[in-house]
Amino acid sequence: MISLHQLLLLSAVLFVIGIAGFITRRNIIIMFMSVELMLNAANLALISFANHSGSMDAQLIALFVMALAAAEVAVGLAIIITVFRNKQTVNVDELNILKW
Amino acid sequence: MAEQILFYLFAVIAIISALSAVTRKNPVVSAVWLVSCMCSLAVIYVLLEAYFLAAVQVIVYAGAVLMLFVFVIMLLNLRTGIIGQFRNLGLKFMGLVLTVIILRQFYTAFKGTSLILGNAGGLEPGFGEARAVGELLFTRYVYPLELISILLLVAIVGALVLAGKESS
Repeated sequence: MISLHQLLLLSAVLFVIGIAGFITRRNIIIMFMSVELMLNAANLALISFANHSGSMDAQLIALFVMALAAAEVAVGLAIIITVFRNKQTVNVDELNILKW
Repeated sequence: MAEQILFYLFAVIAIISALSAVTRKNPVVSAVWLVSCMCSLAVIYVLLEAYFLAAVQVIVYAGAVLMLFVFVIMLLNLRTGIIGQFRNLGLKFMGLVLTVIILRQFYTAFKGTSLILGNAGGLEPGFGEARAVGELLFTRYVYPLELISILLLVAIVGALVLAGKESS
């Protein structure tokens, strides 16, 4: 049988890979993909707990997280397109007009 | 036993795909690796008896979200020089140190939980199938469901306003 420990560890590893990608990359699209990876890691933990507790509620929360992620991607990519239209770049180091 | 082997196989595939997704230079290659990661996660959802969510994972994440990413990369038409750069070495090092610390903390937090999955009495029949999910969705979670539908509508309108062609 798969133990809860292994599942949580897999979830933690995926989450940490997402954080590492978010910190080390400067391409805004890949940073966005790293956020998706972190959301997936959270979903995996939720579904493991749903199986462990025998109640479906955590699965429903994971479903809502997926819907939220879809909405977030739509708006986020629209913002990226607008930024690219104005600045001609997707490098976050060059997007510093709000920096004082 | 077969469950265990499948879990290890797809866990390794998911981790390798995730690592490749955040280290490739070309965003399109990253997106394809991410699709592989999402699909192996869907297999793990099936092992956890979340059949409906596994289907949603493949359709929404691997199908819709990553497709949207690839379309946007195509629209942006990135020149080869700027597509993939890492931050400078100091920040990269800091990122690695930070992630190792976080992973270590997760590990200590999870060390005591060696519990076997599945309730003591076994899961009830139909657990995680579309019928059970739908019944919960339209009874106990009907209010969040309506809120999510409004949120999706707002997201569509927002995306159109932000990225749509300005009429000038």
